[in-house]
Formats: sequence, C-alpha cells, structure tokens
Amino acid sequence: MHADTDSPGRWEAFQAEAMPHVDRLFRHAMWLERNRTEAEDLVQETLVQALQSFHRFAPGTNCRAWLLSILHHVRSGRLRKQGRVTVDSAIEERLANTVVFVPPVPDRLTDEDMLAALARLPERQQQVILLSDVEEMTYKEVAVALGVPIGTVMSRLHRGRELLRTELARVGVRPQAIGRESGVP
Amino acid sequence: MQCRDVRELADSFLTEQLLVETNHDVVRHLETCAACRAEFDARRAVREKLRSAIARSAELAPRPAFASELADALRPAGTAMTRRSVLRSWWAVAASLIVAAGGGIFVRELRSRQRLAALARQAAGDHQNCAVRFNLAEQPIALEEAGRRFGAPYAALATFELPRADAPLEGVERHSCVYDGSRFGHIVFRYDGALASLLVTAGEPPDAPEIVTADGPGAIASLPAGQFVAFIVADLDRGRVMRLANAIAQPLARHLA
Repeated sequence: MHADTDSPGRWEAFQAEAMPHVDRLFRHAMWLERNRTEAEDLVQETLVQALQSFHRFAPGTNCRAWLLSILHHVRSGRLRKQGRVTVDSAIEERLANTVVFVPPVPDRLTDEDMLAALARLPERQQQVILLSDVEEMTYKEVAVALGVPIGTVMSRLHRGRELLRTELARVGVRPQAIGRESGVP
Repeated sequence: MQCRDVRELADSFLTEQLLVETNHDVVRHLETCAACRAEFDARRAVREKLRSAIARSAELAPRPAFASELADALRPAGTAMTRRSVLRSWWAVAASLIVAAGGGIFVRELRSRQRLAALARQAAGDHQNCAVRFNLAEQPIALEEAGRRFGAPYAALATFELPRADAPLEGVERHSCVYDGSRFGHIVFRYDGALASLLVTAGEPPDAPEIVTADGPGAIASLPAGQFVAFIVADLDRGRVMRLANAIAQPLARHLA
C-alpha cells in the first residue's frame, strides 16, 4: 500500500480532520479497556492505522465514525490474539425472552447513576449503545465498526436500551451504594 | 399509526434514521398523543444524559498532554510519507517500501517507549501516593489476594527475597495497589537511607535495566521481570537507582519465571 502521491499536505489534512477526535476516541477506548495505559495504546495504534489509510477516507464523511471503526477492528484483532473473544449469544437469547416491561426512569439521575447502569449491561449492548447513542453513529456505521449485520445492531440496541432503562429504574428503588466495580486487572 | 407501531420506531426516529414518509407519520401521531410524546421525551433524555455523563467523566478523560504527544509521535511517519510521495521511479518505489518498513519499525519502537514512559509515570505516582503519602483512592490488598483475583505476578512477589545491592535493602511493606487505572505489585523498601519502591505490572518489558527518567527529584528505572515490567522509583540519583535496578533485575526475573 502506497501513500497518496497527490497529497503533499497529507499530514496537515490528517491533523485537521482526525486529531480533533482524540478526546472522544480516548473516552471510548477507556470505557472499553478500563485501563489508562491500554486505552492510550489502543488510541495510538488506531491513529497510526488511520494515518496509513487516510487516502481511503472520503472528505466530508463522518471521520469520527471512521476512526471508531478502525479502533474496534484493532481491538477485535488484539482480543482474538489473546484468545479473549467472548461468545454471549446465550445472554442475548435470554435478553430476548426476559425484558418485557420497561419501567419509568427516575427524573433525578447523576452521571454516576448513568455510567453505573451502562456498566451493568453485557459488553455487546454497551458497545452498540456507546456507538449509536453517545457517538451518534448511524446503524450502518455501527454495523461496519463492529463487523455485524445492521439487523444485529438494531436488535442489540433495542435490547440494550430496554435493559439500560430497567437498570436506571432501579436507581430510585435500591440504596445508593451501587457503584461501578473497580474491575482493574 | 397506532401507539405500538410508533414506539417501535421511537429509537430510529430519535436517531434520524427513518424514511421521510415514515418520519412524517410519526410526527403526525406525536402531535395528538401525549403518552407517546412523553415516552419519546424520556428516551431522548436518557440518550442526552448518557452523552453528558461520558463527556464529563474525569475517569474517562485523557491526560492533558496525550493529544500533543500523539501528534508528535505521528508527525514523523506522516511527514516521511509526504516526502516519499514525490518519488516516481521503480527504485524510488522500492526505496519507499524499505523506508516505510523502517518507519513502521520506528513508530513501533516509539510506541513501545511511550508505553514504557506512561507506565513509569504511573509507577512514580504510585510510589508518591502509596509508599510516601498513604493516599491512594483504593485500598491496597495483600499480594496473595491479588494473586487469587488477578493471577500473575502478584502471588509470586509475596515471596520474593530482596537481594543485596552495595548496601542492604530493608523491606518495609509489600502489597498490591492501583494507581491511575493500573494495578501494581508493590514492594516498599529502604536503601541508603531513602524510601524506594519496586513496582511490577503488566507491560512490555525492556531488554535490560535502564533509566526511564531522572527529571524529577529522584529517578525511575525500568527492568525486565519475566513477562512483566518492573520499575524502581526512589528519591536517589540515577547512578544509585541504576545500581538498584541491576542488583534486582536477575533475581526478580528468575523468581517470576
């Protein structure tokens, strides 16, 4: 693969287009990795690959979505190498059969309530909610990022949002000692 | 359109992914149905609160210098590619491939050094906040417990015997602690009158002991520890920190193998 020979301002263009998304990329990576060093490494490798592939990026399209796709592909590759690809289709099947009534969400919710509720969802639901609701990617962009069909994205989103609201509805009912576990390996 | 049909389309409507005609149908329904409007408002509120929570979270925020460090790390590869972009001959293409490979190796080594430096900063922070000030946000746990919960290298560190350097190393305390998102096996000891820390964590080990930084009041050395990386942090000059690192490196690597 060769660099775009017709673009002497390649680095300047990349810096203007991609680098403003570093903060958002890091937050997304930090949520996935829960480890600052790993998150920095993931973002750095993402941007290295993005720079090498920048000639494939179409100006005017959603750069952040493009970068997040690369990030998820990089991460998937790492997890496969480490033998850490999880199969939770059984969980999704249970979700399909159990979430029926979605209770109302309390009015007063802190940032900690929101993040703790999200953290209690299965990882695949967390990923689609982050990409769709937080990063505002289209269903198609999310599907490309995760390497799954659009129908799978929509199904996971539907279940994930129902689960999220169920978790949030519990905030007003049980003690406020709920918090994210410090699952630092 | 019935309420049930509208609510099934709620998420797609809120993310602007409906066809125009369907969108109009939903809007017309919402104009006359307070219950569905309330449902849509609730879903919209959850999305907005989640976005805000992620954006405001200090725990998820990058270090202030991260973006500029990244730009500095990427710039040489980007600039090199730009220069190669004007070469046209077959030899130039071959040369550009060789340079690209070398540039890739450079970027990989640079990334490796940056990861080591980032871990070293965390190790220094752990030394200051744990060994010196007893001021960590999360309570340390016993190395044995860390070994049960998180695996290697923690349990092994519980039985690591500090070797002798040019002066005895007097053990003070050992445990597993967390600083800035990284878990360490931490042995606090005294050497030559100063408090020092041996911190072991997951990471790419250097080939040999080396000083990572000596910019602050003390110095930090990194050393290989089997599959892990270890740091010596102490308020001592680089020479004495390096002596410590050399004395500890081989016994530690053997113990953790």
